[in-house]
This record gives sequence, C-alpha cells and structure tokens, in this order.
Amino acid sequence: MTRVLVVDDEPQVTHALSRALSRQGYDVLVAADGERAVDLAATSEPHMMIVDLSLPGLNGLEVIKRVRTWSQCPILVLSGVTQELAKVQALDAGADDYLQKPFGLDELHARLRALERRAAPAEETSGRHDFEGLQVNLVARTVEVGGAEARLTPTEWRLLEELVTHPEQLLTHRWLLQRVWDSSHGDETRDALRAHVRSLRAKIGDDAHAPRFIRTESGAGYRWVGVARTAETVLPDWGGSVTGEQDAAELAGVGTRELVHELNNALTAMRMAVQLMRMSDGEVTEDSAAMRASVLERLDGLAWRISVVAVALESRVGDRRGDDVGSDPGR
Amino acid sequence: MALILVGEDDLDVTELLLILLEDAGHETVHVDNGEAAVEAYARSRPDLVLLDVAMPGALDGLEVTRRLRVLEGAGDRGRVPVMLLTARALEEDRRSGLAAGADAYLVKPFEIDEMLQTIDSLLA
Repeated sequence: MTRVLVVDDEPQVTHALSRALSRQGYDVLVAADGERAVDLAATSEPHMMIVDLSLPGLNGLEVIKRVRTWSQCPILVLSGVTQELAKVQALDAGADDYLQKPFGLDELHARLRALERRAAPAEETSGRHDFEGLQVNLVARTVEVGGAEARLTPTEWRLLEELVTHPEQLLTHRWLLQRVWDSSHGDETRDALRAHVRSLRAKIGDDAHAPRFIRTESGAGYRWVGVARTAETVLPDWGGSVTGEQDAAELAGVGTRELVHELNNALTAMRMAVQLMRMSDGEVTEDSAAMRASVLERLDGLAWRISVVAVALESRVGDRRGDDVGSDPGR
Repeated sequence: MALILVGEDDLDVTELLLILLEDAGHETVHVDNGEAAVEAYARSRPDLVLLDVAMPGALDGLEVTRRLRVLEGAGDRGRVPVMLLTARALEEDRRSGLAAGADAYLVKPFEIDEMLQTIDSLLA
C-alpha cells in the first residue's frame, strides 16, 4: 500500500485529505508542523509527501530541503494563490509538483498518480519516446515530426532531452538553465531560455496557446505534456474493415521503426499461417477444413495489412531521397 | 506437453501462435500486456514463457523477464525458460534481452520450425 505523509496545520484540510486518500487505498500519515513532518519522514519512510508551505515553526520549504538531503520520495506542494515566490522556491528546493489551494480532489488524485508513475518509471532501454506526430530518439539523436526529420541545435537538443525525460513534471526556469546551460540564472539567460523554447516549439510543431508538448507554467517554468503512445493507440484496428487510403493516412504520424515492427509482426503471422496450412495439408476432417478456411481469410487480411504499411514506408523513402538531393551540395 | 504462457499483443500473431503451439501438443495461457504476464506467471505456473518484447503498457517483455527472475529468486520454484520474440534485430537488443534473463531470443519474422525447435530444447 502506498504510504502518503500529509503535512498541513489546518485540521479541516488534513481531515478531508485523510478521508479522501484513504478511500483511494492510500495509507495516510499526518503531521501538523514542520518538525513532526521531518521526524515522520525519517521514521516512516513515506512513498509520497503532500506539504503545505505555510506551517508553524519549520516552514514547508525547510521541510522539503531537509527531507531532500536523504530522500527522493515524490513531494507535492500545496500553496496559496499569493505564494508565487515560495512556490518557485519550493520547486527549486526539490518539490516535484504543486497544487494551488483551493483544489479539487480529482486533480489531487491525478497529480498523485502522475507522481507515483514517475517514482517507478519503466526502464527506457532504447532511448525512444513516441508521441502523437512526434518521435524522439535520444540515443540516435533524431527527431521526426509527422514522419519528417527535424534538425535541432545542440541547445534545443538538451532542452528537449530534459523535457521528454521528465514527463508531466514542472521544470523551473532556474532548473532548466542549470541543466541546459550549466550556468547561474539571470534575466538575460531567462530570456534566452524563452527564445529557445519558442524555436523548439516551432520545430516540433507545437503551439504555445494550445500546447500538445510543452506547456508554459506562468512565472514558474515549463512542463512536458506530450502523451506517450503505445502500440495499442497508434495503429489502425486491423480487425475492423480496412479501407486502404484511410489506413495509409492514419499511418502518416506513426514512426518508421514502429512501421517496420508492424511489418515484421504481419510477416511473422503470415509465416505461421503458411506453416499451419502445410501441416494440415491432406487432412480431410471438418476441423481441419474450418481451420484452413479461417487461416486463409487471415492470410488475405495480412497481405492487405502488409501492403498498407508498405505504401506508408514507400512514401517515406521518396521523402528521404528528396531530402538527400536537397542537402547534397555536389548536385 | 507443456503449459506455455504467451505474452503478445498483436492479434494475428497471437491467434496463429496459439494454434501452432496447441497443434504441437502444448497448452497455452495468453495475455496481451506486461502486467498481466507477471500476474499470469504467478497464478498459472507455466513451464515456459514466450514474450513479445514490445508490448503496450508500463512493462515490456524485457521488464517482465526481469521481474519473473526476481519472483523466482524469492520463491521455491526452479528457473522457468523465457523466450523473447522481437522485431528488433540489433545485436545490442539481443544482448539486453539475454541480460534481462531470457534464455532465447528470436527476431521476427522468424522461421516457425526454429521457434518450435527452440521451445523443445528449452523444455528438454
């Protein structure tokens, strides 16, 4: 059971949070002041902490700083509207996210789930990050936008790298400046950060007013909001009726590697189908006839599936050749 | 005859794979994602696990393999052979598959005879 330490000095808040979190299956501990919070964090080793910034005695910021000296447990900060600076300081001190009071319980639960996911990330072995219309490969250092390769400057790369490897996390200006430029911050470099974010957005086809990837958190920093795709969500439903053109169009935003994977799956299934036909060759039972009919139908569907993927891949080969001609000064 | 846990999310591959395995005299349990694979492993105690590397969800075939090895270490069961199926043909991918604890690694599209022979040798 996930253990959450709630740190707040208002009994109504801790009472409401305890009830709501317990109902969601969390094991809840409560601390009403900063000293008690640090003690409990050390002795009960919570999996997550929710910390109000305004606390009697040791304040929320100090609690976070102390806890961060030994623990990496996710910390969600609760703050009032008037505490913009304190909020930024808390994030810089090591908090992972913040919620502004008053907040809805649904949002609180969603933030906690996001923190839990980040605390136990699936191991990324290939460096690949796939989003709708955008594929980033951090190992090969390639970015594909709608199937076409985008060229980034080294600074834009470092920025993108930090953003995609910290999904849903608020990255403060100061944190990004330190990570991307390895420098202390000032007004001038903060402006530079904004300029690089603007040009990165343009290259990956993002819109600051309706962000699909990079959301501006006013006065605080940026958050990567790109929705990671899985094989389930990106590929057409091959089981339904296939219309060819529609399927090819749906594949426009799918990464090339994903398409090759798709092709290999279809080829694997095809080989198995052929093997099954061979094995049942000469058998005259009703069962084997029904099996052959079912496998034949599937073979037909697989051939169609392969041809649609081949069309999608072929159009990319055409694009790539066009790029080569354009970039070769000798031609 | 063996009980084989199949973790594969592609519908066509799954259906044909299950027919082939059952035709070869094996019983099968099928799941289409990594989390379900770990659960099914604990529940059904298969003799062999066949996993697609690229399954949807938080756990891919490599991570499932790692978790199965941890579960084995904590329990009283012997080592269950794991075979990975993948569309990744790179040598580094093969190495990471074996490093995760897999016993065999087949690249799609593979030869069916090769798959059946590998299963036989892992079960021997």
